[in-house]
Amino acid sequence: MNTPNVLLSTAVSLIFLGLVFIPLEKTFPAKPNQKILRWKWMLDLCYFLGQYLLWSSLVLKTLDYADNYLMLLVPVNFVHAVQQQAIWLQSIEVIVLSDFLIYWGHRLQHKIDFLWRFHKVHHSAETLDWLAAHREHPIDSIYTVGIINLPALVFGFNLDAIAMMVAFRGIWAIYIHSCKPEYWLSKKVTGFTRFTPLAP
Amino acid sequence: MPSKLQKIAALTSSLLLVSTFILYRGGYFEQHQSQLSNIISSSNGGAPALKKDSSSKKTDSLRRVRLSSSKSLVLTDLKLPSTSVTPKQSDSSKKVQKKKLARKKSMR
Repeated sequence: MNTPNVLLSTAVSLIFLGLVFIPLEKTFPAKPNQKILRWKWMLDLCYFLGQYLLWSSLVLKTLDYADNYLMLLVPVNFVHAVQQQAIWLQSIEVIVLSDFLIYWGHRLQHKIDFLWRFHKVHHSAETLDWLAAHREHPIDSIYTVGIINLPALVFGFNLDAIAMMVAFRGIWAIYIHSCKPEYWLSKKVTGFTRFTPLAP
Repeated sequence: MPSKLQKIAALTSSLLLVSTFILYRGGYFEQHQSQLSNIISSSNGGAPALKKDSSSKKTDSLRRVRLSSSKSLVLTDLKLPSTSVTPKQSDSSKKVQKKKLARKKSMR
C-alpha cells in the first residue's frame, strides 16, 4: 500500500470512527460531562496516527513472518477440514478461541513484569473514550494482535469467509472503551441496567 | 440530558454506519458493484453479459481482514508481499513454501 493510500485510509478511519462513536458518547456517556477534546486527547490522537501510519505495517510483517512457521504445526488435511466448515461455525470458533487466548494473554500482561512494562501504556489513560482505546505500545500491539490472530494463523481459517465477523470484532474492541448504550437499551427492554454483553 | 429521540437517532445512525462497514468488509459491495457493472456493460440492454467476476476473488497478498480485534487497522487494507521474508532457503523454508502451496490449493 503506497503512502497516499495509507494517509487516505487513516483519515477515512478517523472520520468514520468519530462519526460512529462521538454521537454515542455524547448521548450515552460513560462519564457525564466528559468533553470530546478532553485531557490528553492530542496524545491519544498521536497514538492513533502512530498505529495507522507507523507500526501497523510492522505488526503485519511480524504476523506474516510468524505465519510461515506456525503453519508447520498443523497438518494440511486438518486446515482443509477447517476451511470446509460452514462460515457461521468458523466465525464462532474464531471468536471463542481468540477470546479465550486474549483473556489469558491479558491476564499475563498484568502478571508478568516484562509484559506489563509495555501494557501499562494502554492503562495510563485517565479518561477513556474511542480515541484512548488506541493508546498502545507497539510491542503491546504485536503481542495482542498476535494472540488474537493465533487461531487463524495456526488453523488456517478462511479469512475471506469470516470477514464480517472479524470487522465486527474490531469495532467492538473500540466500543468497549467508550460508551454504554447497552445499559439504556437493557433498562428499556428488561428494566435492569446490569446487562453487559461480551464484557472486555 | 439527551432526549429519547436523540438517543434513538444516535444509536440508529451508529448502527447503520457500523453495519455498512461490516458489509463492506464482507465484500458485499464489491459483489454488488461487479453485478452492476456486468449489467451496465452488457450489449443487449440489460441482460447480464457473461463476464468473469474477478472482484470477489481476493488475492492472497491482500490480507485485509486479519488483525481481528486490534483497535487499529479495522479500516486499512494493507498489502503484504506475497513472498514472505524468510531468512534463507534452508530445509525448513522449503518446507514452509511447500506447505503454503498446499494450503493455497486447499483454499480454492
